[in-house]
Amino acid sequence: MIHKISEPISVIASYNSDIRAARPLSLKWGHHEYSVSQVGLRHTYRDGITRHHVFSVVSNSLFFRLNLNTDNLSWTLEEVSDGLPD
Amino acid sequence: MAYQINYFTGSLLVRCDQNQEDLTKKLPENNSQIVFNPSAPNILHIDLNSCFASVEQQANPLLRNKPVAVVHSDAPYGCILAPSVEAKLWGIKTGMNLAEGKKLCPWLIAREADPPKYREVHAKFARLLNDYSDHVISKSIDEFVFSLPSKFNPAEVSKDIKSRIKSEIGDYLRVSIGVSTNQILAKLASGLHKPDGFDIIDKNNFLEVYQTIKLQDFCGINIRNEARLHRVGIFTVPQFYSTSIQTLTSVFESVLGRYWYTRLRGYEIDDVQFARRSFGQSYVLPRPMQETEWRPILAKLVAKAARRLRAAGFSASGIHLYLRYTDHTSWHSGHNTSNLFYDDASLLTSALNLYSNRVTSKPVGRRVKKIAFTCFGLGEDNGQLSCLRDLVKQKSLVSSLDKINDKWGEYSVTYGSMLGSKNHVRDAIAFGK
Repeated sequence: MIHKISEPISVIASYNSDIRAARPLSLKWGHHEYSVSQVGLRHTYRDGITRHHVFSVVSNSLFFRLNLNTDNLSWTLEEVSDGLPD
Repeated sequence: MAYQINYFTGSLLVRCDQNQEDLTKKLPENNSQIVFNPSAPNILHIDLNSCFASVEQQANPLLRNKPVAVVHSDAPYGCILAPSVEAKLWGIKTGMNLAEGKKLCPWLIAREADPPKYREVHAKFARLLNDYSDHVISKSIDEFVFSLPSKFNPAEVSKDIKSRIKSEIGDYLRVSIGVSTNQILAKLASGLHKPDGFDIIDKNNFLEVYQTIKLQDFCGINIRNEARLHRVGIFTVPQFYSTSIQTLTSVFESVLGRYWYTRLRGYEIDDVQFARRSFGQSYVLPRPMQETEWRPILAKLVAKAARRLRAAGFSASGIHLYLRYTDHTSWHSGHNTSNLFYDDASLLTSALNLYSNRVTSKPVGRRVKKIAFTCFGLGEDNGQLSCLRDLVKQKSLVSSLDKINDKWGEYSVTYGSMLGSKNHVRDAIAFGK
């Protein structure tokens, strides 16, 4: 089941200078805090001059698609899924 | 100059006579004496297995080892663009609609295509492969080909590439690698064992491989070419291989017969890059539409093609419009002028004029289900138009509009003719080259 969402979300992220990579560590959605166990993929795209970084992450049995707007450094939750058929 | 329209992609394929002559010169002489190319195989063809679906499974680990289909739209009629390896086991194929796929596999998970994701993975692949060759050719979004310098061992390099893909791009991404002495056979080799395959076709095993494959396994032998071969009694690949060059020339009624004779013997004749000759956009309408409904969508297709045309620094002197109707008939027409067009308005006006002047019968209720627009006759935008004052202004306006859209995002400013097309013609990745 997939839920398309578009809501601001709080994210704790880290940057590792050794591998020059950033990744979300945890996110707060609703009243729950989810720690990120795996980053499946990070990709980027441009909307005009604004670059967006999209992190596809998993926390236990839930998948989250997180979008970082590099213009205003805001995070948006775009999708939540449990990986099961609709 | 010969040209033909590719109705699937809406692009114009042009082959110059000059290029064809060049290819012919590459053919070895005394064709009747040719044996299989004795050189060491050094052409690598790399194919990302079930590309779009694998990238989705890479992004979302909860989808791994499950039947997944990447679809154009998750509506029941949405076209399946790419089934995962697991979905293929259920008989799901590209081109089916989602409802058909779910009938075969009720557990099928559909995900709408996400082109930026696939482009990013494609770019990462290209960067990785550039470490092995300075002449990596991208054949499509999921295929690359390059020739390996002779000092490297193809088997070791292939192993290294597979390992680096897992560690640097994605641990769930699998590629099939084929190695041979020409591009066609390398591609064939890459498809012998999917997923995660590795095969070599060379002078030692080519006959063995030919006995296990079908004619249509060759890229370029479609159902029509296969029928041509059947007409002269060629039903198997070994028969295809042993047929004389004279017979093949008569089968294909062109130089293609010579090309296939040479390809089957492992010689390279496909390492030719054709210059871009056209820019096109096509769109299958979500439902059949009347002219008043599809006009804004045509305007958007024209705008997209024109944007790409200008970004590449070209103007176009010709346009082509193709319409497919719900009764399975189609209409198409092209027009070439002495003027060069580069702006949306001129190109759209030309397209609409073409339609109004050339469509003689417009039965009431005849609805369109597919539109393809192509502009061709490309010329470099060298500023010669600027001697006319109004054209200078027009060019400046178009340039300003492009800058606004570059800064604030596509379609921030559009022509009024596009009103009503907002949810149509989304970003997509074309199949093929």
